[in-house]
Formats: sequence, C-alpha cells, structure tokens
Amino acid sequence: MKKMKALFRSSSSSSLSFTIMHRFLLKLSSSTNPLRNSKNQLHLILPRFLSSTTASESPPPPRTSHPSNRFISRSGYPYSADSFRKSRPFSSNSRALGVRCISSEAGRESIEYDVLIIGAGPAGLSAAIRLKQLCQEKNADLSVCVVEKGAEVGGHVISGNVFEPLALDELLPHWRQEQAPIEVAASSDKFWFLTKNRAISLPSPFDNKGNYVISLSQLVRWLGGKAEELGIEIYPGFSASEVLYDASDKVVGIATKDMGISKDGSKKETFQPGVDIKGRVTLFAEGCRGSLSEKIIKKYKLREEVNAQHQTYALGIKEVWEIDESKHNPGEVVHTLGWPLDPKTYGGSFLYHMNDRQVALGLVVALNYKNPFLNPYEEFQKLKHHPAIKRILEGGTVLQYGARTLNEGGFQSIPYPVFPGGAIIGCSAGFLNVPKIKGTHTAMKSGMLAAEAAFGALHEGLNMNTYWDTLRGSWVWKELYSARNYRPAFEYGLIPGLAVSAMEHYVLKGKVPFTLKHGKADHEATDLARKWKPIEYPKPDGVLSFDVPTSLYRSNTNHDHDQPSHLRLKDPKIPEKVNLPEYGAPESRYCPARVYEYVEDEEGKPKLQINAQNCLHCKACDIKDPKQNIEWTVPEGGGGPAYSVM
Amino acid sequence: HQTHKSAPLTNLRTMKILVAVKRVVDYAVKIRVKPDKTGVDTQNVKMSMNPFCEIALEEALRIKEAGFAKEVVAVSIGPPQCVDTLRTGLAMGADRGIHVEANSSFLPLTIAKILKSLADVENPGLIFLGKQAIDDDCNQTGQMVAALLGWPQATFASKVVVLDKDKQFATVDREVDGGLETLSVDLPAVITTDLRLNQPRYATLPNIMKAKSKPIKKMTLEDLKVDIKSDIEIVEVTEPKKRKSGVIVSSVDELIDKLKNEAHASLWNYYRFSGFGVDGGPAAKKLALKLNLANANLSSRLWVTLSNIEVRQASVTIVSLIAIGGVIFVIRKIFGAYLAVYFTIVSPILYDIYNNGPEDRYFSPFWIELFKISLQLQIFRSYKAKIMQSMRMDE
Repeated sequence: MKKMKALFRSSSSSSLSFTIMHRFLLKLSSSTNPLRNSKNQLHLILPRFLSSTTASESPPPPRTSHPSNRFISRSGYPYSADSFRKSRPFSSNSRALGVRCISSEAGRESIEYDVLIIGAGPAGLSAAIRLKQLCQEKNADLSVCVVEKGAEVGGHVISGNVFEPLALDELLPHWRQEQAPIEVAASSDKFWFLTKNRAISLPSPFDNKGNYVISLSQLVRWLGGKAEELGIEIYPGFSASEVLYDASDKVVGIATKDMGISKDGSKKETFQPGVDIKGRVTLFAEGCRGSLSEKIIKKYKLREEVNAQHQTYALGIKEVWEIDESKHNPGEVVHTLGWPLDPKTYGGSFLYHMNDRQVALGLVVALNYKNPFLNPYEEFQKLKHHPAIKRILEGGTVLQYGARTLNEGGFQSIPYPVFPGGAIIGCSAGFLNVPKIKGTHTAMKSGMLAAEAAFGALHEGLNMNTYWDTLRGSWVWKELYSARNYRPAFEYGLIPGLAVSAMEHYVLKGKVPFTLKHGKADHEATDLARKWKPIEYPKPDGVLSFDVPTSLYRSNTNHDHDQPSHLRLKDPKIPEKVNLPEYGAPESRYCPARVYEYVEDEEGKPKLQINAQNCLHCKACDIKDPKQNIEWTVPEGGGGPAYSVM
Repeated sequence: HQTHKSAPLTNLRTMKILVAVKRVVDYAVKIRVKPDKTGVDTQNVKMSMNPFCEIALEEALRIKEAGFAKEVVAVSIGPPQCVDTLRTGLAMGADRGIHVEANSSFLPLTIAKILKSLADVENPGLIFLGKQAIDDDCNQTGQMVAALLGWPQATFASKVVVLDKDKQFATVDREVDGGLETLSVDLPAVITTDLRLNQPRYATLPNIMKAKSKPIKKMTLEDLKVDIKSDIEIVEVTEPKKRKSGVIVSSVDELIDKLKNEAHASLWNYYRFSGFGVDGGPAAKKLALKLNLANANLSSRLWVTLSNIEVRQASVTIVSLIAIGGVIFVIRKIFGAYLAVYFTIVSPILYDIYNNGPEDRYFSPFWIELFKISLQLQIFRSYKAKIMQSMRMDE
C-alpha cells in the first residue's frame, strides 16, 4: 500500500508541478502500464474489495451511533482513494434491474434503487434524464431516484442567469418546442466599470450571442417535469443528512434526516425516523459546497488524488425586481466591476432584463476578501443606489431576494470526481467557468457524462471511472482549461487582474504554458480586525435598499423553529473566544440572512446567537468562518428558501 | 345534546369520513397582489395544503386509526394541480382521493354546494373541514355545508372526543371567548377544525411512494350537477396600506427623547383623526405620559396635590373644545376660539412647557411657534373679509 502511494507521489511530484500536466500524466497512466499494474496488484493485496458485491447483497452497515453523531468523518482512513477507483465493475446481474424494494430493518426503512441522485438541480436532473434516455435507447430498465432538500423542485435554485444552451441542446434537443422557460434571447452585452457616481463603459469581454436570460429556478422546475415524464422518482422535501457506507467503505447511499426532533434533541409527537435510500450508484449533485460531497472529497482524498488545489468561492446576493415598462429592455445584459467593492476585493454585479418587466440584479463578492468588516449584504444595498442602477430600479418593486455561494476555483480546483460507489457532479465538484460567469451548462454536462458512466457501469459492466475520462475529453474541460488563469490573476488586485484577463481574452486565449495558482483558502484570507477600521454603511431607505428582515421575508425562507440548529459549532467557545475579539465577528456580516448575531447573555457578556430559521442555505459560513468552526448541515427536509423566479 | 333517532344510523364500523382539503399559497410565502387587482398572484408560487385542512385530515385519520371509521376520503376542488395536494393527503394516510376539476376559483357557497352533492353520493358519517383557508380567511364553507345537508355542525373544534359506539354521537370542544364549550352532535355531522386540535403528521418517504398507487377519482361539475352561479363578485383585491415601521428604543431616555422630538409633531393629527378607543385612543396614550409629567410638575410647584388628570377626559375635552371652536368659526362669531383652545391647552403640554425652563432647547421653539401662528392669524384676518365676500358672491 505504502509502496504504491510512494510511487504515485513520486511520479507526480518529480515530473511536473503544473496541475494540468499532472492531469495529462494521469490520463496517460490510466491507459498505460506501470501505475496501472501497481493498482492491479493492490487488488491482490486487498482481496476483500474484489469480493465485495453490490449494495443489495452486502450486509447493512453497522448503525451503532445516533444519527446526529455520524456526520463526523472517520479520520485516519488508511486507503488511498485510488485503491477503490479501479475496483471491480458493478455486476449487472446481481439482481433484477429496475426493481425497487422497500425493506424495514430495526425500525428504519430502507429503499433501494439502481441510481440515487442527491439534489434536484441542473446537474442532478440532467443526470437522471440522461440515464432514462439511455435506458430507452438500449432497452434497459434502471430505477432512478432523486432526493431534494427543498420543499419543491427548484425552490432552492438560485443563479444569475444567462443560460448557454449547449448542454441542453445535447440533452433535450427539442426543448424549443416543449415550452421550456427559456424565452428571452440575450440581446446586448454591456460592461461597466463603476466609480462612486459614474459608470464607465468598457469593451464587453462576454459574448452572450445565442444565450438566454432565464430564471434557473424555473428552468429546473421544467426539467423536473421532464424527468418525471420519463419515470424518474423525485422526492422533494427530504434532505440527505449522511452518507451510508458498506463494510468495505464503499458508498451505498444516503440516509434522510429524521423529522420531528425538537430543539433540545428529544423526539416530538410527530417524530418520523429518516429512511435509508440506497443506490448501486450514488451521484452527489448538491451544488456548491455540498455538505455530503465535502465529506466524501475529504474521506477519499479526492483533491489530493489529482493534486487539485482547494476550492475558492464567492457569495452571490440577488434580487429580482419588477420595473417600469419604459426602462425594461428584455434580453439586455449588464455586468459591472469596481464600486462599491474596493480594488482588492474581487467581485462585480450583474443586471439581466428578463420577461414580464422583471430584472435580475445581483452582486458577487469573492469570499477571499480580507477586511472582516466587509458586509456583502450592505455592499449590495449600496450598489442599488449607484446612479446608473438606481435609474433602472426607481419606481419598481422587489419580488424576491436570495443568496448562494458559487465556486470560483475552476480548473485548478476540480477534485477527482469518482469515488467507490458513485461520483460527484455539478457545482459540488465545481465546474463553473469564472470569466464566463456560467456554470449551468457545465454542471448539466457533467451530470450527463456521469449518467453515461453510471449506465455503463450498471448495464454494460464498465467502470465509473469512464466519467473522469469522458469529462477530460469533453468541451467542459477545454472551456475550463482555457479559462483557468482569469480568476487567480485577480489575486494581485483589480488592475493587474484586468490586464491579465484582457491578454488572456484577446491574445493568448488560454494557451499560455503555465497555470496560476490560487491564493490562500477563503477562510484563511480574513485579516485580524485590528488591521482594519469598521465600515459605516448607510441605513436602508426602504425604497431601493432594505434591512435584512425585509429581504428575508422576500426569500420565503422558513424552517420549523423547533428543531436542533442545523448550523453546528465544532467548538462552541470559539465564537466568543476567537471570532469576536480577534476577527470582529465576521459571521455577523458575511451571512446574508443574519443567522449569526452576537447578543448579551445574562451576565452582559457577548454571546453568539444562531438564528437558524433565517438560513438561506448559501453555505457562506461553512466556507468563510476563520477557524472553520461552523459546519453547515442539512435541516429537516422542506426547510429553507422557496425561490420561484430566481 | 338531542337524542332524536329518526334517520338511519351511521354504522361506525363502516363509517366513511370525508375531508375537504384546499390547495393554497404556502403560509411561508410572501404573497403578491396581481397588477390588475383581480386577485393574488399564484403563478410560480409555492402552493401547499391549507394548514387547517391538514389538521382536519389528521383528526380524521386518528379517528380511523382508533377504529371508529373505515375509510378516509380526501376531496379537493380546483385546477389539475390539486392532485398534488390530494397526493400529500394520501401520503398522510387518506385511503382515496376525489378531485373535482374546476378552473376558476369558487366562493364558499359554491364549494359547499359541491361538497353537499359529494356527500349525497358518498354518504359519509362525518365531514371534516378546516375552519377556514389561509388564502381568503372566509370561515364559511363548513357552516354552509352543514346547513345545506341539514346536519348538525361543530365548528372550531379544539378537541374531538370520539364517538360513542352505541349512541353514535361525537363530543367536540370549541374554544370560545372566556373558555371551552363542549358540544355533542349526532352523526352524520360537520366538524371544522381549529389550530390547536392536533399536530399533523409528516408524510414519510415510504408513504409518499405508496400514495402513488392510491386511487384519485376525477369528477366534473357536470357529474355533480352543481349550479356554480354566484351572487357575489370580487370587485377588487388590493394590498393593505403600508404601515410605518416601528422603532425599537434601547433605553427610557431614548424613548422620552423620541416622545419629545418626534411624537408631538404627529400628535395633533392623532386626535383629530383617530378614534378614542377604550383607553382614549393612541393620542391619549401618548398624551398620558405628558399629562402625568405636567401634573407632577405643577403639583410640586403649587405645593398642592392636583387630582390625577384622567387622560380620556382630557382628550375628550380637548377634542370637544376643538369641535366647539370649529362651530364658532363656521358661524363666524368668534374666529379665534378655535385657536385659543389650541394655545391654551394643547401647546404648553405638547412642548412640555411645564417641565422646561428658558435654558431648555424646547423652550424657545414654543414661543417661536406661538409667534408664528399669531402672525398667520393676523394675515388670515386681513384676508377673511375678502374670502367671505367671494363666498357671498358665489351664493
């Protein structure tokens, strides 16, 4: 084991340090001899992997501890993920295909599917649809189940969104005839550099010709309908709270969260235990910073596997407005840089004109900002008072508010997306193209490719690893490779970033022989509070800018208040001991739902209060907390925002 | 409890319970009035089962589980999406569903008529309804169904003690002002449910799966031969007036400061435009603070304890004096009466003149205000003759 690891390490470190080259090497190695042989030997060393069979045949995993304790991933896991990767293909004749069985063991019910998908978003639904299409083409029958934590499909989906239909064209070529909510073609691209009072037009680096201004929430609803037509079972309102492993540490499915547990942990009158849902292949499509995906990436060391860097993130805050007919220009696309953000903070805003007098307005702030006093929510409120934006919004009303983090790591941060028992797709892996600010098409494509691999694994005796190979051969890879240096260039500030971006965009087009590295991880980037002065933000005027409670009301977010907080502190003392005195309580500012508040306790000392009901499921706290002390876990199914036009 | 037993009795072993469930905009969603004011926007909005209907269904299921009924039938009336609501009901445990297709939204009487014809077909021993739906808050349908069927009704049930097996009646607790009222109704009957009756169960995943194979019968209005003509027409739906947001003050000092600086500006409008209420109205409430201060101050200076000034009386006095002043003004006897009342009674209290000395920042504004008004009075007087003249010319 150790020998093999050493071989693996030395081959990677000695040959080339650049990520991309390393990936090519991996590709080579997967098709040629030395490394592969060593892996085959490994199966001889660990024969139990060979003998381990599919989920339905293996004994159920031991369920000893209480569910809430099981989220802690086992440390000191002895095997490299690589050892699983080339393990035997899934046997397709182990049981009748397409048959779902419900069994009950020790009070907990267990349901089995061929393919289980976590998350009904663009990636998850594309994967489900692609699987069923393959079943139809090849006359096979695989059962597909999608679980979704939102109360409705699309209820937790929020994005810009200027949609590139490339992946949808491949998935459902006739979408234009099927009432897809993709109607407004992008008509113009504007790019402004904002100063406090002016908007300076820059040549637009975006090319949105052929793209559409859409609400992703609505597109996902439509995709959900298409999926159900194909016989896919979608269960919204059920959150996947833990990963189930079999005896050989292969992922065999998930468990849904128990319902009806009160704040103090006792069972309420309505208590219903969670259900084990098992899949012969499990695909995680939880979106950016998926709570289970992160565990799997850690457990199987999927980043280390391909020398990928850490993921970097940004927080997007968005509102949909209904504006005056006279100011509305369907299809107009505006992006801005600069004010209200300082030049050291990466980010920008977008303003897209949709249908029905609606515009989507948002601000994206990279989470590696340094000033702990920065408040993305307040920056967004400030943005709306810029003369160029105010002009458009005036006389309008806000329809909805929401926030979500997004991946900005791009190419450098893509983990190895296959693990024993399944794969990670969409934003959970991180396929967002930063200079394009688009990730829906790549997420969908990754889902489709994973579906093809899963079908191959279940039906044709192939291996899930084909997902990795086809991914690298696809347009997703090309796109992300050529876009890889934009974001890291902004590490040096706005102007150098723009300069490098312009060079990349107009001259080099991603052909430079080097790959820039990301800076510090987002949580490490926050400076100590004493290095900065607090920022004074103006009070909301109630017309263009609003306070957080007003905005939250518009996000329709809601959680049953009588449940344990789904935002867990690994060490409950750190907020008062470190976050407040040293970092000036950044969580009370970056959270766009004011979940974190410092209040006085009985003795007049400041104490962190977590208003978990406000949560918008954006995951910023999980990412940005300086000591990584906050863990975002899923609440009871059905909780969270209810977006419909986001 | 009446004990007439003329009608054929419902057999509890085979009793059917009909539960009406309504699909409404989810309670956590911020609703929006359509721009044309014809109703509330339900496009792209999260819909779910009316919470009171969930409680009604839960109660019906508990009765069935206790062995007093054989079947629970969920009914929903509305567009095709109501099937989703019915599926939720089936996942909770209803045995089958009936979907009455209707593309327009109906008012309670029409719904009651539809439910009556369904009851004629289904012959349930009990009909459960939520006491009201959270979208229109009508609170009428249950009562109307009972009236149309000629059945006894127990509304706002906070406890349903089931049914005596031999005598065939149900006792129902209802929350009324000042306590609980216990009713006993003969079956068949209509019961509408209140919020505290029970805690509805979750639809579990296996039950949702099983619900997919439970039958939902589609019916049309023609099948039921219901006249949907309505005598009521919704003219307009508008948003309630926006209220000014409140302010949380952090200390008593801040409160007093706000009362001094911000409250008195609007106080005058308060007693002109708002009712007195039981405590003298909002104006009196604000006035009370100041009156008490003034009273205390005067008492301490005069060495005499003044009897406590009753706020309600004070505000009534003020307002009636204003009214008298107004009358005097109209009949052109003494023009200044109206303003005199204002000066002598109201202004000193409003400006806390009894509490403030010349060094206080509220002291001089009072006199400036007084001066300004008297100036305006002069100007007005000079124009008065002209105005009166023009008025006479119009006549």
